[in-house]
Amino acid sequence: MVEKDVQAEILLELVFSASGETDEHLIIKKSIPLYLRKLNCFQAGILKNKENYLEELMLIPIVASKSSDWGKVKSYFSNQESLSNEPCSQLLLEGSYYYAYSLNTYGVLILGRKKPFDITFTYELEPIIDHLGIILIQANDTAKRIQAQEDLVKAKEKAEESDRLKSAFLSNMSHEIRTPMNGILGFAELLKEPNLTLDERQDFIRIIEKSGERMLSTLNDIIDVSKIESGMMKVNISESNINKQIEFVYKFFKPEVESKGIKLTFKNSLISNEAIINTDIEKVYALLTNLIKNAVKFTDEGSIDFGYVLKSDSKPVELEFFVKDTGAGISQKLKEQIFERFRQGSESLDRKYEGSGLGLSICKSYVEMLNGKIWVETEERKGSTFYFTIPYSPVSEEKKVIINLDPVKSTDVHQRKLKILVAEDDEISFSFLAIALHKISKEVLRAKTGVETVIICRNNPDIDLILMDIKMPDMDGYEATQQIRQFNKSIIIVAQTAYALSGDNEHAIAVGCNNYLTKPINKDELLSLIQQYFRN
Amino acid sequence: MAYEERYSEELLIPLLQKCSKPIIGGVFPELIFSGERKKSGVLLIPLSFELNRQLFDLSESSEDFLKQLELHQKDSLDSSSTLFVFINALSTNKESFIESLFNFFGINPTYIGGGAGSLKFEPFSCIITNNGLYSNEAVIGLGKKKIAIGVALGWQPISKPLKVTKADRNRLLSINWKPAFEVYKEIVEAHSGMKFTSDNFFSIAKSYPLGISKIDAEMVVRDPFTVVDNALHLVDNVLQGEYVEILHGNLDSLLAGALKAREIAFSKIENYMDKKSIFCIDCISRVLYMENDFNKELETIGNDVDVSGILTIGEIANSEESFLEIYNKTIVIGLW
Repeated sequence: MVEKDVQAEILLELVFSASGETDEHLIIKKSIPLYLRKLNCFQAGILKNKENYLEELMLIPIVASKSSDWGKVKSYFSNQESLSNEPCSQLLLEGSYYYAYSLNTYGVLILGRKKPFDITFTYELEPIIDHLGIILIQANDTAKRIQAQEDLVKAKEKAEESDRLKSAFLSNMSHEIRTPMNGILGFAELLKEPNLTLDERQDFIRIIEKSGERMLSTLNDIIDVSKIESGMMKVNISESNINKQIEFVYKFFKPEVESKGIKLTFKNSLISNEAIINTDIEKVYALLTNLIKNAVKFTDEGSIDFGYVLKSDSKPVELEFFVKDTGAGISQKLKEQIFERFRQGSESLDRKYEGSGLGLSICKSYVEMLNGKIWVETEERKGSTFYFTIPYSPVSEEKKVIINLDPVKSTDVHQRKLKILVAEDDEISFSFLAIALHKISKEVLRAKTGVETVIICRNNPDIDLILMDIKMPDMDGYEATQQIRQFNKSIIIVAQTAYALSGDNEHAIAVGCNNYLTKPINKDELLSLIQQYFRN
Repeated sequence: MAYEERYSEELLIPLLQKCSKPIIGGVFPELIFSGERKKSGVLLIPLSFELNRQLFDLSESSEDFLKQLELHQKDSLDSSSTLFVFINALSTNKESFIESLFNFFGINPTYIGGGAGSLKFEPFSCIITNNGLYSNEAVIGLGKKKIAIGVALGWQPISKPLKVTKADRNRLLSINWKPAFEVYKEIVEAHSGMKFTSDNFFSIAKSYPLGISKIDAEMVVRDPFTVVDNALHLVDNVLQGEYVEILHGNLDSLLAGALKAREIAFSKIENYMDKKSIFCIDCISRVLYMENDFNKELETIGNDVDVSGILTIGEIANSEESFLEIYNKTIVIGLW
């Protein structure tokens, strides 16, 4: 035992060991080695109070963390109900003395020694270690306050960034809607000119169609984002042949891509039998088309390759899809943000490419919903490769037999002429449907309200098909369908739903519709759907 | 290897690189061989156990040291182990390195080693491995066999604790808020009856080192070797805020310290250890203090056994139960 005055000086030295420091980490880094050295300890550890447990904050020496003794010591002192009766809790383990001192409410300081402390010294040490605890609490509070301030600044910056992005988005949206509208209204006006040649007329109509498609794409994106944000976008898992999906996408894009002078190739890595998987095929389709559309948009020459490979070494086993182009590429700075909402490869006002900037954020949401990931490898002026993964969940052998049975092809359908009731209050929409149905109908009736629809249907039991608008005066399409089903169970009713936020489609099926089409209605899709119900 | 008449790097490096056995060591002020001081020559001590060696650049930070140790020594939990440490005595970062060693290994291994260099206190490549000689470096070797060591001083305090009120690494600037040399001079002159003049500082100061107190452990001795502008220059660092005492020893007390170190080491001897030869790490400043009487220290520890060892600038050892320190004016006896 050293002389009392030396002992007192050592204690004083410990008191001032962390003076002037306000950083929690630095206080510990400075003071604990001094405690070890001056108190001749072989081990020191700090357990910090958390809500209902003690967290190991630091331990000297580092290798002690792997020893079973430390585990026992920690467990012993963690389970002590109170350290307040004695200056400290003590444990004698394998010839070593362990002392656990309270660091006020901050936590516990555990000191390991080969020789026991003098009993009076254990009392003298108590207020000093308590004082260290108070300094740590103050530093911790300061750190928390600084952290809270930093968080506030970050939140403010994020809000400002979000505000800026939303303003940019609105301005972009305005442009994205007004531009095709300009095309539609402008060329519709031009179509009225009496002396147009047939070629001119066809050109104008093609421009109107293109403009309409572009606007529809923008609106679809906005609605998808709204659905994702409101949690209404659901995952619908079903069995699908991924190879067929890839081939379909290839056939769909081939004419457009080749018209730009670009080569389009695809790669299926699995044999057909292994390519039948459980997934949300609509979302996979949306992902592929979105990425390929982007590739087409940003590539002026070269090639676009897409497809998938099986990643059998990943856990779980995954399908890794890719869409590779030789286009503009993305700068490294924007690469980090490309999957954020309202972002595009270029955000400047004079950007070369059209688009809402929502597509990739929708892709990211879809991939995450499917438990996959999405990323991009890119180099400016050389091109980009977008990747996304989905879990590989093959369908069992028995089920594959059923899946592989091809549905009856449309060519087998005997096309008999139908009596069709179109429930539609909007004049233009009715005109379009009447024209579209001309070839397959022997008679097209029209109802402008829900009530009228029910009456016409009751009075014309030979009606084959009703195209039911949902939003109509007097009585909506749901109610009309329910009333019709009370006296006619067999008539085919196809709802025309708006591609809206509510669950229109599901609701339509629930009230008795056989199927639904989403507005704006595509003529080919309409006829294809009708064929499903009227084949021999 | 002894500093005087040492091999040049050009001669030594090819020899080291050719050697198939792992080598760690240093260039020290002097050596001990067959119980005698040697100012020249090479002392090669074979070990019966393997060493896991690692070289450290001492210009790096303590975080870097810990990362490197974590990388190479992460499975070093064995308490039956020994860590040999040779370090450039002139490196300013050596305390941080020693602290990192303890923060990593703790008391698992028995530490033994010392500071390499020369009494001219000039920088040169003094750390040896098979790859060559290194300057601002330290080398360690972890062996999975425990050795027995004894550490002792032989110095007693002659003053009350004095607060280090200003220090910059190894420069002690003020004690009790007064210029350090003024305080030191007053106490030492009163005790010794001698007066400090412009050219006799070391001849008096070598009998009056400073001691840093610890609870229940040997004091850590710091050796003053010169005075500049009222600041005491020590061989190793002292921290501002610490308390030091002025120590004094004479030949009898130092020899008693040496005997104590030998007794402690032999008290821990195991059957597998060689009882006929001991390894001694002795501070070169003890030699300078004892001068011709140093042979008596070697005789005291030698007695009936063969003594070989190194005379170092700072000794590294722990008594297997406490924080690792760099000592001055200390004798360390090792048996294996």
